[in-house]
Amino acid sequence: MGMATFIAKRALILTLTLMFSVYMTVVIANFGGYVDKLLRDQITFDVTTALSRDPNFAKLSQEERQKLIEQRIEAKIRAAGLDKPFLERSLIQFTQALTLNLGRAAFLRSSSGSKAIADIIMERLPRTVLLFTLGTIMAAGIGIFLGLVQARKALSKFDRIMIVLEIFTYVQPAWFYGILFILIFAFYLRIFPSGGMVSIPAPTEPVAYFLDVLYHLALPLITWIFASFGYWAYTTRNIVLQTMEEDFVTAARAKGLPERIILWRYVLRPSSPPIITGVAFAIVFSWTGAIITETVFNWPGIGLLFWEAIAALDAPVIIGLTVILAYLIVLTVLALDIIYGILDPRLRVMR
Amino acid sequence: MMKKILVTEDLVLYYRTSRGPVRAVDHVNLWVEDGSSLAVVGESGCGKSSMAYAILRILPRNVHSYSGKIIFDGVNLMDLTDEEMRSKIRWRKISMVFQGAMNTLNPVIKVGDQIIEPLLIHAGYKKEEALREAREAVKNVGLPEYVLDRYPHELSGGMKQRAVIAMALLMKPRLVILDEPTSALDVLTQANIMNLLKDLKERERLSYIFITHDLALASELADYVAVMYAGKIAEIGSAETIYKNPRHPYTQKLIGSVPTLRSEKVLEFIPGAPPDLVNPPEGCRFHLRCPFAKDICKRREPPLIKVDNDHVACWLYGGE
Amino acid sequence: MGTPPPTGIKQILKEALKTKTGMAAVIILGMMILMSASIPFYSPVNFVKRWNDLKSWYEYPSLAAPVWVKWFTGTNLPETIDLTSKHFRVTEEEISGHYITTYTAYFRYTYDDYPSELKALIKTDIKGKPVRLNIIFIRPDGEEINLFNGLVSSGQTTFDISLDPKLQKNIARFVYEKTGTVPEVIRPEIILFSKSPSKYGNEAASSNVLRGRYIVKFQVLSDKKISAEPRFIVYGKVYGFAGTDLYRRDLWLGILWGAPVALAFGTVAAIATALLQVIIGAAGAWFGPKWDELVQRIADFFLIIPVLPILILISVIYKVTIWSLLGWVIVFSVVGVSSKIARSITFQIREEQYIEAAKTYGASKTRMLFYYVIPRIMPFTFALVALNVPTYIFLEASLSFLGLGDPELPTWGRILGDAYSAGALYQGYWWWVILPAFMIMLVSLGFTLLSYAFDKIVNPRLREE
Ligand SMILES: Nc1ncnc2c1ncn2[C@@H]1O[C@H](COP(=O)(O)OP(=O)(O)O)[C@@H](O)[C@H]1O
Ligand code: SF4
Ligand SMILES: [Mg+2]
Repeated sequence: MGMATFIAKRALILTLTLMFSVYMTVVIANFGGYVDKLLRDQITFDVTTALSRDPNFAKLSQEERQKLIEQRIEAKIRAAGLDKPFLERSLIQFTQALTLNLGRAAFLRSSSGSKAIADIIMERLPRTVLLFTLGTIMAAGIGIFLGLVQARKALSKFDRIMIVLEIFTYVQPAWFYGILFILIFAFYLRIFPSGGMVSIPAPTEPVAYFLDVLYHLALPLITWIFASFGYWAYTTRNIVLQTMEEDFVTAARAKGLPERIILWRYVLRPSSPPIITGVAFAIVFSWTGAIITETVFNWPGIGLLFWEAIAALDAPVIIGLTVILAYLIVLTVLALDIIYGILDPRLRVMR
Repeated sequence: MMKKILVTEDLVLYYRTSRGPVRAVDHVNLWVEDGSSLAVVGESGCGKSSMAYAILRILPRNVHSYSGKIIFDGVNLMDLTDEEMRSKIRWRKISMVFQGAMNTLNPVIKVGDQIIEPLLIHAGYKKEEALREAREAVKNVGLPEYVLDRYPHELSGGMKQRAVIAMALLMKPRLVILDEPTSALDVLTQANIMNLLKDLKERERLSYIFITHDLALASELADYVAVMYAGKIAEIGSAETIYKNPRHPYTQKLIGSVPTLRSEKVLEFIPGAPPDLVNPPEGCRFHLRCPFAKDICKRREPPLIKVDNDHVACWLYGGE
Repeated sequence: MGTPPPTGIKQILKEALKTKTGMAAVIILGMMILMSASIPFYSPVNFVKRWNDLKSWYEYPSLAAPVWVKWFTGTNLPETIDLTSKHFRVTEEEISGHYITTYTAYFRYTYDDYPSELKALIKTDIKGKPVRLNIIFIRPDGEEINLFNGLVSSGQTTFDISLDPKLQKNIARFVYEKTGTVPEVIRPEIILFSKSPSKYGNEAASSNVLRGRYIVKFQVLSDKKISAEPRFIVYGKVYGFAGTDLYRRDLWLGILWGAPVALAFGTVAAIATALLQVIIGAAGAWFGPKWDELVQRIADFFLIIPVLPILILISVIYKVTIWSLLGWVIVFSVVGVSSKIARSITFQIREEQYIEAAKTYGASKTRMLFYYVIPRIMPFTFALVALNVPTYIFLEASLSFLGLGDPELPTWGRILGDAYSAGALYQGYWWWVILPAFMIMLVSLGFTLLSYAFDKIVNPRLREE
């Protein structure tokens, strides 16, 4: 199979999977119409409270009032498209989502007051990138380095202790370390603030603002690195060690190649594709933030937005978030297929 | 008498495991006459590959002990430093074709680049010159030139094995160790490769150590045969005597279990299982499976005894 | 190179337990199981109900640290002194048709710190008219404070001495008579136990605690003979092995109960998902490319949808119990790492001869899958299963932490969530956080070691040669 056909086939399959996933998300996020009911209730509530504050409204007769209320509600429901059956609405939401026409939030707003979902997400994304993408890159760097060292000293005491430590630290989620670290470093030692992204009130001068953000970033960043470096170290160690035991490495040794060349051309190069894939995926997934970690540190990123959207049952925001992330993941998978195809010729035939 | 290109004396390679040392190569004495080929035959797991690795000193992490003499062309390889082994012996003097043909090539490097690596590193060739040599070398093993430009996965198993053989012959070494060069291939390809090896043997006048679990296959190429059992040499002698007049009871069984030439069968006709190399039986290692076992066989290990031009490790042929 | 790994399930278990890490794992997990098994001896049968019935914990101190803190800090922190009716001596007087019943009890207070809270309770059996009650508190220095003087009706009456403004007024009067000033904040549990009047109202150092014999008197005045059950509780600042939470619950009981819940949930989820994943992964590879393709697509689907947010969403709407959560977890883990492992091993097995042989005997394909293939894959998932147990325990903890877990069962995650939302991190109620966290970590350490022990046997790259 040529590279082009291979990519085309993967693209087609991934697109179909994307469409299916997005539609499923629309259905799940709306809870098969349950959210529509909530929205209708909200409209009823808004209309009645608005009218009851209107002095003219009180002058009307009981019947007229009822009629007016119903008219207004109906108009609003139609304007919101809620009069259509859920199936139709779900298809509309589905096409809007696929075309990245994210629309407006049902309840949430950005801090500047915008209800446009794109605004809300774009306000949060940089903060999540700052914490989680940076943290992921640093954790991967530290972990890969450690893993390489371990692979060289495989099965030494150091290696074995590190393996247990790495698996152990990785098993616990970041939020779990978060609460412990807040208690230790923020409450008892008072080295770091316990949460938030900037002090209140925030410094106005840019340099001070930047330093303040760094100061707030430190503890969650350390937490994230601590919770994830183990995964990188352990996987890297295993991948590299697996490669080191391949016959072609023994053969290279028999060929009398110097160790340096063996290490780079025969061990690290064949080991790199799976590690690179892992890092790429982790970076993409880091954009989803982490719901509980962000909650614990009160870090106003995508994870916290997800949580706020869920708590408010704001279906459009949930769908919007999911769709954007789904697109990012699919594009990454495709990009990786291409990179992989270049780095590791084996895969072109294997997939 | 011909010159011996390689002689091992009391070659030992034990691996360290949680159960105790694995005596994979246990005081092995064998030799290869210059320009001839020695087949090393034995059930799988008896230590044949380990013996090859011991000669080239390509050792895994868990070596327990590694000792003895390996006299190659008059020099004891054991006296060389690791660096000397790497730069003077490996591939220049002794090259090897590995057991898993499929996996001997680095999947992410083009075949040609892998073949010429030793020329660039050991002989200081320029890439252009090296590629010219490589083109010759692949033609020599019956491959088209374009394989040099391919990645390993783009070649069939047989083509890969030919490429690996070309790579092994490239530096014109004195000795080539072939570790089950055909066992991962289908029967037809196996036959083709065997023909190629026979052909090359005639043309290049090389010395071979040909490792196989298949006695029938060995007969096609070998001038001499060494039969290995549980980390030790059971019998070593000229191919003719081994096939016509096998002396060691194990060799006799092996010959008996070969129904036709070029059989695909694994040697599983001998009753009983090969011994555990961590706790080998005392005395002769074959005595639990040997129909002629005597009392002494259970107590004392037989030495390699010279019988005519053959050498046999068996109490039936003297000693005591 | 290398010897093949043992394949029998029993053999793997046996070998794993022989290694040092395996033994350590067994010790840790054995402790957990013992802890779970000890629950019937420690805690009442209807514990789960009681845990959620906050009123039933009134006799426990709120936010008390564990008792052993005393040993570390060297200060003798107060424990709760509970004077129940059997501690009270009863005397009766009759004066012109009125009965005065006096209940007197005393206690020694020798601690280095003030109590955390005071409470007086009385239960009377009179019908009809309320009776007059007088509560008198007599300190070792002879000072007498009239805590309450008024009417109480029948049934149980509780006086929250530390919170009730009416009672605080009486105490303020006492301070005023002594010092001529009225403290800004009235903390009865400090004032009543403080040595020097000048410092009344200050939460002062331990040197200021008045040690000695305290007397509590309940006087009931009524026109007929009555019987009453008085009670006086001097709440301590330490309680039990694990302290108490804001809602006065004995955390040790909650932590104990968390063990079987966590172990059961984690183990069942890990084994069930591994089995499912192996069956699906193996079936895909076994029944040919169409099935395999389907399995791969399901995997892509789960890669694309955000699983945790959707689980959270489900919990918000449906209010999951631990069992429905288990169901959802399984639904969301039909494919995963185990299915990948199963897939690649199945491909290998398909090539092997004895399967060929079984085919010629006419064994059905499905039968072969379940009899030959799956049993051979399972050992390779052991390490993963062991590791997934804590992963699932943490999944439950995550949801509970957000307040979305099982509304009934006390789980470690829920205790942590309660602690977090009560501000334990920012107030320094460390025991509320550290102890349940320690338990989760211990369990995950146990399973990590177990996983490593399994891995060492099955995975040649870890085998100690
Ligand atoms: N690195 C190693 N560690 C431990 N045991 C090994 C190692 N390499 C090989 N062995 C064991 O040594 C014995 C001989 O192996 P090998 O030399 O590969 O035999 P053969 O090539 O004859 O099949 C076998 O029992 C094998 O399991
Ligand atoms: S030494 Fe004894 S046991 Fe060994 S092969 Fe000879 S006869 Fe058999
Ligand atoms: Mg071998």
